[in-house]
Formats: sequence, C-alpha cells, structure tokens
Amino acid sequence: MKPNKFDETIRQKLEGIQPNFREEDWTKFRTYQSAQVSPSFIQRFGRTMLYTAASLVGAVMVFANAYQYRKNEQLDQQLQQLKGQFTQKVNTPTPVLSRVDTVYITKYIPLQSSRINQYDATVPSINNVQPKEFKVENIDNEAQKAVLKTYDDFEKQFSGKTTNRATIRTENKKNGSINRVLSSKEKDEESELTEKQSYLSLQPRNVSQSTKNQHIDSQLKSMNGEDVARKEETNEILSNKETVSNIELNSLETSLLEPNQILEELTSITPAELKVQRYAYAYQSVSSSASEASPAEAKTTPPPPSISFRGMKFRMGAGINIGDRFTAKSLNTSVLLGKYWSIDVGLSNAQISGPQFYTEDIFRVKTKRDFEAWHKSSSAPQLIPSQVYDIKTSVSLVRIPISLTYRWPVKDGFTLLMSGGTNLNLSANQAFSFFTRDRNGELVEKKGAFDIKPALSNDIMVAAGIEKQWRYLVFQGEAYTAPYLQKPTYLTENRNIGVRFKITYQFGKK
Amino acid sequence: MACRDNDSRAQRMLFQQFFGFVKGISLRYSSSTEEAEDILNESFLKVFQHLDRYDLQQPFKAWLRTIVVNTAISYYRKNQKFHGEIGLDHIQEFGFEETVIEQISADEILGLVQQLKPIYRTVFTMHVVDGYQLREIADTLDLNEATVRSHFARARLQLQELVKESFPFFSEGRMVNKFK
Repeated sequence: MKPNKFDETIRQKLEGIQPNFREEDWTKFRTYQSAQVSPSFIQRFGRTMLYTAASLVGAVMVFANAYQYRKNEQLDQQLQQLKGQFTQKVNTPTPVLSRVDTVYITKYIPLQSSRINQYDATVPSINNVQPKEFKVENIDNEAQKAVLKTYDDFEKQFSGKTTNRATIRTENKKNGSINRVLSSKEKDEESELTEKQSYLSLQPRNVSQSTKNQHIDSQLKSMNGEDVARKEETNEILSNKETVSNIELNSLETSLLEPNQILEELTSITPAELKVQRYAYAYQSVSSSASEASPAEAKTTPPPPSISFRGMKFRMGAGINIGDRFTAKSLNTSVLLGKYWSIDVGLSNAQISGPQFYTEDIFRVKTKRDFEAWHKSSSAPQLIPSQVYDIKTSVSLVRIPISLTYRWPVKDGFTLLMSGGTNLNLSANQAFSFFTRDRNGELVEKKGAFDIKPALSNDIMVAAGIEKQWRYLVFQGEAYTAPYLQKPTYLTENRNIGVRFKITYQFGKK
Repeated sequence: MACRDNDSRAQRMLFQQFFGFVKGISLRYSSSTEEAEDILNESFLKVFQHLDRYDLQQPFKAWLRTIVVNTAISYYRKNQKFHGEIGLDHIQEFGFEETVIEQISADEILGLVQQLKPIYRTVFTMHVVDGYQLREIADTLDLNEATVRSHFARARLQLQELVKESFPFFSEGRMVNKFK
C-alpha cells in the first residue's frame, strides 16, 4: 500500500510532536524506576558490604593493636618479674635443699651368748686408735677380752670403708644389748654442711684424742677391777654417761671422714653443682637402665617426625554462597593443618541467572547464534515459525570448590580468614524459557534445558572473612570475588562477587 | 559509560535530552497521556537497564525508537487491547481531500490518532510514522500480513472519519464516499 499525501502529512505532523522536558517528568520517572526496578545484589548491598568490610578491617586492626599492646604489657610485666626473681636469686644465698636421702646399713654382729648383754660403748672412740695402742692393763678376765674382740670386729668392719662417713648409734635393747652399726652413705647437702661444720667445730675436741683414750682407759680400768658378771652395772655406768658417749659419737662420726677431702669439697664444690651432679646422676641412671633394657630398640628407633598429623582436625558442614544473580548451596569439608592453615573442599550446586533477550532477533544479534539452533528443543518443524519473546536463560552448575585458607586466630574463638582457590566444574545444565504465540494467538510460555560442557576450572576465588567457634560448632562469614578467566557464554558479566556463609562441626579436639 | 554505571546525573541528562523524542513516540502509540507516560517510563527503564547492549556503531535514536515501539507493543499486549478487530468485509474507504489534513494542527491530529483502536493505531503508526513494512509489522505483532493490511486500511478510514467528524467545516463538500 503506497503512502499517500494524507499519510505523509500525518507522519510529518506526528513526528513533529516532541513535548518539552519538565522537571516533574524526571521525578515521575525516578519514582517509577524505584518502584519497578529490583536493584541488583551489588546495588543493594555493595555500599553496605563496602562499609562493613571497611569497618571490619578497621575493627580488626584496632582489636589487633589493642591485643598486641596488652600482650606486650604482659610480656613486660613477666620480664620484670623474671628480672626480680633473677636478682633475688643472685642476691640470696643458695637455698638449702630439704631432701634427705639416708641409707641405713644394718649389720648384725654375732656375739657370744655370754657377751650379749655387754654394751660396747667404747667402740666408736677406738676407730682412730690402733687397738695395739691401748694400754690395757690386766686383761685377764672375759669381759675385757670381749671388749677387745668387739673392737676388732669394728676395726674389720670399717677397714674397707674409709671414705664413708659413718654414724654409730648404740641402742640398748631390753632383751639384750646388740650393737647396731649404722652407716650413712649419703645425706643431703644441709646435713653434710652441718656435719662438716660440726666437724670443723668439733675438730678441736676431736684433736684431743688423748682425752678420749683416757676416757676409754678409765672405763677399762674401772671394768678391770670389777666382776665380769656385773654387766648391768656396766651398762648403767654407760647410760649414765650418755653425754659423754654423744660426744664420743660425734667425734667418731667426724673422725670417719677424711678431713682433707671434706675441706676440698667445701671449698671447691658449690651446693648447686652438687645438685646438678645429683640430677645428672639420676638422668644417667635412668637412661642407662633404659638402654640396658632395650639396647637394640634404642638404636633402631628413628627420630620423631617434624610434622605430626596426630593433632589434625576435620570439619564438616554446609554453606551458602550469595552473589549477583548467583546462589550456591554446598557441603563443605575442612582439614586444619596446624594452627594457621586449612584446606577446604566441598561439593556445591550453583544456580546462575543468565542473560535475558527481549526478542529472538536480539538473541541472534547478541549471541551470534540462532535461537532455535541454540536450544535444540523444537520438537516439530513449524510451517510458519512464530516469533519468540522474552527469552530467559539460567545455568545450574555442579562444582567442587577447593581453597587454601590462612587462619589468624585473634581472641575469644574469633579467627580471621584469608583464602584462595578455584572451583572445579563437574557438570552444567543450561535452562531457558520463552514466550510464543499459539494458533489462537495466545501467549504460551515454553521451557527447556540441555547439558553443556563447562571448563574444568575457569575462575580464581579470593575470599576474606571471619570465623567464630563455639566449642565444636564453627560459623564462617566471608566476602569473596571469583572473576572468570574467560567469560562463559551463559553469563552476562564477567564479575562474580558475593558473600558466603558456612556452618561446620569440628571433629577432633578443640 | 556513566549511565551504565547507574550514575543518576548522567541518566538524568540522557532522559532530558531524549525525553521529547520518546514522549512523542509514546503519545502516538497510546490512547492517553497517562498511557504515554507509562510507556515512556518503561522505555527509559529498559534503556538504562540494557544500555550495555547498545551497539555504539548504530545510531542511538534508531535503537531508542525500537525500544519504545517494542515497549508500546508489549504494553498493549499485556493489557490485551489488541482484540476485537473487525473483518475485511466491513471496510469502508472514503475519498479524502488530502489538503484538509494540512490545516489541522499536530496536537489535533495526535488527538485523533489516540482515538483509534489500539491495534489500528499501532499498525498505522508503525507503518506511516515509524516506517515499518506491513510484513515486519505482521511479524512483530505475530499476525498475518493480510490482517495487518486490513488493520491499516481500517485505521486510515477511521482516522478520516474522525477528521470529518471533528472538523466538518474543513472536510465539508470535499470528501467523497467510495465503496470497495
């Protein structure tokens, strides 16, 4: 139909109608826009996320700074305390050890039945004196001979133990007097020092060996003139002279030590060194006993490994990723490698809303492909292909997210997370829907789907966030970006940012 | 670029610059000013949403015109106002003195066009003003070409009748009835 002048005139007049812009028109449009447009995820939450991330980073920095400041203060205080303790230790004398190691060596000396009740109070004092030097007169009775015999026994007993310091205590039993020889091999340093001091203090008394000899002589003399059968009187005499015998015991105790050796110990060895030697001896004894127990095992046992998986912890849970036209639900597993690192692996199902095309022609222009050839779902060829409107696309992806996470524990169960990784795409399904007209002229919606083969790995994921742990329950919130290396055909834009949340349960000790 | 980034100032500038152009198209495809405003707002909304699809090699006005026309078609399709057309047998064509229409103002003609049935107005405007071929109109509206041709003929006849009714002193004695 040819356009006549009527049509041309109408066209000219209608094309000339262009109303002027008014401010209220823009206001109306903005109102309409705000009512109609559902802002995208970035438009809706971008600014909030930015402020939140900035606030989070700021708060973490302040928190970390305060935490570090407090820790420094604690370390300073601890250092001051250690300095004070060190100064105290330097200034104060070496503390006296209170441990007492006393070994009692008991030896029963066989005595004749007739001499059982005889008390050998004189034995200690004759250690330093040769029996031959005794000037015993009239040793003709049995009692005097028994005393001398007992002295000989003691002499034999102590002949091979000149280095031991001995204490001889005499106990008077009711059923008979038995001479008990007590030898102390070791005493603690305090008792040693006391002994040595007593030795030194007693040295002048000990030096007066003749006094003791005189005492023995006097006893022997007194016994010489009395009946042997009066043993009880002898014991009584000895018991009455307890003070004297104590002095004698002390003198015997100190006299058994070698004076030169003791002096060397006092001057050259400090108690601390003695203590170290004691511990060293204990360690050597333990190690030697262990090595003696299983020498082959000790030789074949390898050194302990530097990396131990004994404390490895696992986490399992679920998560959700929310992005711009992107939602993914996932099952997650984390393996914590020590305190600072973890490997995260999961299985997710992602739903991505693809581009929309108003008409088939726009689809052809944008994708350089024919819509019918693209979706391959036309069941029967149509004689007159109908126009397609409002084409919508979406993609469902099954993927395995893998990431390595650096963990920075802060305080109260909070941990900062920084991770990097990728998504391994296992399968993808392209879905579409569009409207077309049936024979009656009614608009009918049609839907379809077909599988596509995605690239195995096509993105690099970087995320940062925070974690909170309550006993075995862990909650993670992270903001992530995962730009695609090559823009997939099913996407409108190459950017891929969003947030993700995970709830996991930790197996293994906290 | 600023409009793509949802810069409000840039969007306002574009809106202001092409407001008259879009409003004119909206008016001739609508029955009232209110409908024209709806079409205009919807058109600009699509423009701002899909600005990234615009090919810089092509003239912007042509792309914008396509969006507005498609929006108008979609608007009336949603509102199911394309029904109730009459058959070809009842078409009555007048012999119309073409110089009469020149004496009528643009706004008056627009008023007459807006009185047409939506399907007539759409076909008539698409073909006469926006230059679509009847086949293209048929494809766009998913109608037969013959139907479109019928709609166009009826739209023109109805418009002439409206002119005659609205401006009798211009058309008196100059209009000749013709029967097909």
